[in-house]
Amino acid sequence: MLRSVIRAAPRVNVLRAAICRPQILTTVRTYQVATAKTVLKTSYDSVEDYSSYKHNLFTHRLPESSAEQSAPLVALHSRLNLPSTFALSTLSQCLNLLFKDDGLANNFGLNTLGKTMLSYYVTEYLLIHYPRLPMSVHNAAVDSLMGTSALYEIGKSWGITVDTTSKLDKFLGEENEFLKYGKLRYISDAEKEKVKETGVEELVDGVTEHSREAEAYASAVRAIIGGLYTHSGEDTAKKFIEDHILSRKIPLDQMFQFSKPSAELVRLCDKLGFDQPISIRLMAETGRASSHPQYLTGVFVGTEKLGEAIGSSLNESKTRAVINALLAYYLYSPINAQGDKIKVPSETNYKFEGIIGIGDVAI
Amino acid sequence: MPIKAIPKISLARNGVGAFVAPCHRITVQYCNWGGSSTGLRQVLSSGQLDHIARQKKYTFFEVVKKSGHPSLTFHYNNDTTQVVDIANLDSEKIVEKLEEYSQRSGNKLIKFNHKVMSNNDSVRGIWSPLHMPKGHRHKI
Amino acid sequence: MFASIRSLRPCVVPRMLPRMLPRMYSTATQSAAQATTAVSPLSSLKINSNGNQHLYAIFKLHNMPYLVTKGDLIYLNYKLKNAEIGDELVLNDVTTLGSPSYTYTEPNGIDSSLYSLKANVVEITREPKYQVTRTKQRQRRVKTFQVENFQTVLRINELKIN
Repeated sequence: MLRSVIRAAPRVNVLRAAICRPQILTTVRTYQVATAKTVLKTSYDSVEDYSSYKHNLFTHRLPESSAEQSAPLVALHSRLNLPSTFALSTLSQCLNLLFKDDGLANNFGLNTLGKTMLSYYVTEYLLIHYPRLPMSVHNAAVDSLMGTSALYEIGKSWGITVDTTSKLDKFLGEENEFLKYGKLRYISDAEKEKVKETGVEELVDGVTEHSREAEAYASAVRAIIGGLYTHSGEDTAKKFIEDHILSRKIPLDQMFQFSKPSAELVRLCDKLGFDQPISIRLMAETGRASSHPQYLTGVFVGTEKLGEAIGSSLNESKTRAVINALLAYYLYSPINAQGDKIKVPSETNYKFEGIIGIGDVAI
Repeated sequence: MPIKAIPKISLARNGVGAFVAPCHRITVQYCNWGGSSTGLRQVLSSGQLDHIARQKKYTFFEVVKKSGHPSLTFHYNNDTTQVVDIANLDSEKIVEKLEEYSQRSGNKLIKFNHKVMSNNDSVRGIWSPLHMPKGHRHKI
Repeated sequence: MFASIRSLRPCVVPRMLPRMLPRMYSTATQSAAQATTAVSPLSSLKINSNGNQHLYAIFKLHNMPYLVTKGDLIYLNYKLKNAEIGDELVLNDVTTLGSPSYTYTEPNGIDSSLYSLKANVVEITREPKYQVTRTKQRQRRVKTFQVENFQTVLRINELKIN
């Protein structure tokens, strides 16, 4: 970051084409030595002895009695139907991103734990139920379920509010001191005291107020999942993820952007080992002379139809048909012999019953 | 290179997996002096609000003393706020309003003229004239 | 516009030809082999619905039919008795279950052990207020009143064939 570069010893500044300095565009190489964050007061026996690293920053957890006095916290606990084993103090910790203001433990660890849980279950769900999705679309689908923007929306929909009042305002307004434990704390006291001019936004390295807020909400959601795993075990965490995250609808058919669909379909059929070539045939039309003609085109391999579509021109309907054929392949979701959706590895008595995709197609 | 992905955010379906109550906070504002707050003061002193708050564990109730007409402010999960004026209302009416607005979602009121709102594609597909068999097609 | 996106298998015969529409009511007699394997009567429907993904149901609420899939919202312009937000309703008067190529209809309601259809009460709100005027010919008095009906929103929680 720009600030840390300035503080260090003989180093050359990297002057990026930042918003504050649009004219200067010189790029100079920088050599940075990794240093531990001084805020965390890390101590170690020697730099290479990684097991001896220890953060000496004093943190303590909120006592349960104080947490119980925070009405928004109790309300959040109840709204999410969290089990009684999930301690309110942990929930308060999930909402805390600060690490130097009041010495309370923050959600970094829980966030990491929740992120791992989420990554596993979301990826498992997508890989098992949509085995033929191309890698880029799979990654986009994972983002759409558990990316920062998605988790930001989820966090907001849970009614988590941000603690924006400064200490002085709290004192003057005689605000209950326990209220803040139920709110999302990521703005430090110093920042809250700063006077905000309307219409002026401070940009530091492209991080906006909105993106900080989104990151904060996302980390709170992940931390709650992490806390649930810690207190109630993996099964409860899995059920929670299924209920809140996997219940969302992914608009998969709108997430594909094809550049050469015909070539791709030809390559795909090659890969699948179809002996007969693809033929695109006009199946029906309203007539060339009709105003607003419609053409129905089908993509065939021998006598089997892979996909069909209606278009207002021959080329359009051909392209749409090819895209439909590709989507029909990529969006396939396997079912078992009884007609149910196949099981995922994390379920009990798991036996592989799906299909394994043959991989992406290169054109 | 062959396929690019268009980034999209998944669609929330509150109620499908888990249901999250949409009203997360209710601010009850009363005035100690004004006559318009009589009903509300009765609700507060008789313990009715306490009883309601105990039942609605998922909402954070906040009681604020401010001079002027009394009001109820409902904060919803979609960042909207609904302010309800309860000046000169009976305690029963106030409780009614409290119950009514706490069951809302904060969305704009709509008169939905159809029966079902869905973001799923139709299961059997949409009829098209080009799929009619040759003998049954419409002849101009 | 787009053809229905299903598996790579050959597209099903066009549905518009009633002759070729696969029927659920078989005129053939049930063979002994079929009886012993005890296949669920709706297995064809279930398999065709791609693991309950492409499945719709027509259920009746106060004798009014509603065609729904999973995740749909139903807007009712009345309050349901004894229903609060978050309650789960088990809908047991289903007339039709349908998949892309099959439908199963029983006018008097399908046996509820064959399927599972549940809805969640998501919201109890009101419709926007509007004004209604009533008057008679050659009479100056115009009666005006405000209308603000209640509105219940249900979300279909679960729809599957057992």
